[in-house]
Amino acid sequence: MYGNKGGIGFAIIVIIIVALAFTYVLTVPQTTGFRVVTPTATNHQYENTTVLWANAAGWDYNLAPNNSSMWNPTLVYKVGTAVTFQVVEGDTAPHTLTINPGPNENRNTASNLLSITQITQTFGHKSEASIVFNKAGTYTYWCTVHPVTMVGTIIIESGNSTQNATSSITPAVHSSNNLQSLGNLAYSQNYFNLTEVFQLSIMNGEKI
Amino acid sequence: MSALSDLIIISLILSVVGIVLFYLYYNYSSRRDSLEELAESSGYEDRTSYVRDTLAGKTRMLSWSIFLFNDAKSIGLRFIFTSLLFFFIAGTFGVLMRVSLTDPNPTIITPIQYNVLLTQHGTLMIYMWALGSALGLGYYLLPSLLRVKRDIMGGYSSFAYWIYTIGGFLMVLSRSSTRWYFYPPLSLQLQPFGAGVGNWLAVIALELIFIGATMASIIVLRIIFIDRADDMPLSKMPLFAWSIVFTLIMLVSSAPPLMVGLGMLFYDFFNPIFFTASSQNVLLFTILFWFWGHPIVYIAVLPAFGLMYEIIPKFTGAKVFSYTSGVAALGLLMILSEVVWGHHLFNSGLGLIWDLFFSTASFAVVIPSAITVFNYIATLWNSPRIRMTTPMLFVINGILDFIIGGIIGVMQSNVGVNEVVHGTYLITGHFHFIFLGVTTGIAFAAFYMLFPTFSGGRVYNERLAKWHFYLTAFGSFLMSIAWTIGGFIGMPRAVAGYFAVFQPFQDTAIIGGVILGIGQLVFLYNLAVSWLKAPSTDITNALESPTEVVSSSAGGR
Repeated sequence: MYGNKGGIGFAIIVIIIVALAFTYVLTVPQTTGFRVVTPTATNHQYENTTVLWANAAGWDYNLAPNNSSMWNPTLVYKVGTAVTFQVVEGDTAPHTLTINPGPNENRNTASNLLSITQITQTFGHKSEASIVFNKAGTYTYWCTVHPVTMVGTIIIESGNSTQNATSSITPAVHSSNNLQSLGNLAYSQNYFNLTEVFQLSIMNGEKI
Repeated sequence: MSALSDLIIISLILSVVGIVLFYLYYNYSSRRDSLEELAESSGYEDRTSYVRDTLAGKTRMLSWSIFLFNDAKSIGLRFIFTSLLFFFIAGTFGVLMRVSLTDPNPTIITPIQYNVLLTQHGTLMIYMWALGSALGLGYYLLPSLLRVKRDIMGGYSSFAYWIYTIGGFLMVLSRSSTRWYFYPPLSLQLQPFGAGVGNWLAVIALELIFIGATMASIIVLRIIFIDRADDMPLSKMPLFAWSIVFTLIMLVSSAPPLMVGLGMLFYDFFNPIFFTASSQNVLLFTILFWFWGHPIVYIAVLPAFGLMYEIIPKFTGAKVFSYTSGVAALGLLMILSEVVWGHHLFNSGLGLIWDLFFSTASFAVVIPSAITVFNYIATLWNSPRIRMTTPMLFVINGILDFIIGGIIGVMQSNVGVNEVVHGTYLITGHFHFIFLGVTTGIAFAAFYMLFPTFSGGRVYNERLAKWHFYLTAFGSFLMSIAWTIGGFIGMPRAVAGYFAVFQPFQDTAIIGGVILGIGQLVFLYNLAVSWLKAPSTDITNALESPTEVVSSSAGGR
């Protein structure tokens, strides 16, 4: 902007920057950026859709239709199943759906299927993400915001099983083996034992 | 292999950036050295940072050197031209928003694009144009109006400017679509259908803007209260200095709540505990926001009021009718601005008692506003002759627009009326009357008056300037009045479409908006062609003459 070119220089700078800003703003992303793994993109033999209600007291706590007593269910699938998790916001608290290929809540090896912003804090909002289980073993799924209450197990059976492709879902509350796998937090077992007692007592109509 | 090539590319980029930075630093330090020698030989008191309008006896031309020198004039020019740049960015967004509403259904641009344009238009206009031009004119005019003894803290001012400008550009880069409110349930959803993927960046950008503006405000307040000449008592300060005092006290006192709120909002992106819907603290953020959000509106207007007090005597030959009532009215506006923020939340459930309090306080704003307007009118009335130059036309149009917009504003102070008109284009019409007539118009008036000083003695094309004025005044009036009437009938604002029953109002507003946009192009063209001419007048700053006498020990012109 020297000499008599000051005005033209400023006008050119204005026009260039306005054009850049204009182009940039108008190319705003217009589709949701959810990191959904499409099952068709990965090799898989079976498909399954699992609906989970996210509640701070536990997955599926008193809200999932027809199995209100089965909270933090143990999910059983066969190797090679592409599972689509549909997570429904069951309260208005923030939740995540995080899955670790192992029997504990290890965040270093886990993958975050659905984040806090995807499971919006709107009651009844359903968000979806898919994952393919290609290796047999015990997996852990939990919510990183409520790691003590919202934690459950996924068991992937090896392909030799003669069961049907559709998975079975069993309640998590009765087996001590399950409790072993529920997490590496020392107090989580005690917590779960207490709440189981409480839950069973309520179911039996007892007073505590 | 790919990691290696990545490393090579990164190191190349870093070396280029390093070379550029070294070149800039070398340029900067050598210029600073020569400047220091010059200042020392001229006998400046603070030789590292006192440059002002002349350098070594020669007129300082507007050049890139304003980014290298840290004197108050250079900082002021940086703020003024940056705010002008952002005015054009945000103005283009506004015109595109208008044009996109030719059909009731969104056809030209998608609703997401509309929301981004809406957010960017509002945020950039208020923070980068209104606040930036106020700070710039404060930095540029106050040192000579107040005949400051020394011009120090230039490094801090420069830092504040860069932080502020980076914040403005990051705001554009964020492509946020949360509107300028940042209301939490929306602003926490980082999706295209929520607040935009980059809304987290917008929060950072706004914090940067705040840090820069607050730093600059404190330094300008220091210029006014500590560094002004000894023979310049507060009771004789120009009214523009008073308006800047009140503006900046407002800014410094009410920016912290929103800075804290934005910090909490940023934390919520990672761990939503403050403003989640379940915690019912969403209203808390709106209160934190509007505690700042109402004063910023006055921050945008008060410097313009002060400038009108300065401009009117230049073209009428009459003194300001009442200096005391002018200062009192500006001070009352400052005080009232801090207690009326609740009128933005009449529909949000603050409770009837609070609503009545805020309603009453909002009605009370009429008193200082009317004092100010009558002060202008009395000054004009007493003048022997009014010269209708372009700046004076802008001032008279500003008074007119302020009366119209102000009366529309008073209507909304009524809680019952507010229930009905809340969220309609009536609000948009109200503040566009004031922001276009007063804030923008007076900033242009000041720019026209300072143009010979900026450009080293060149005169602007009077004919083009008149065209700029008439297009701006007519276009903004047409647009705002169409919004006001349509909004009173119930046209909802801030949406990418409208009901077809409002077609006439929207069409009128589109015509007004396009006329307004063409007017600004005329301004840009005038700036370019007038600068090409040879200097034909002296560079005396029209807003500072004719009484200015600077003692030699204080340096300066």
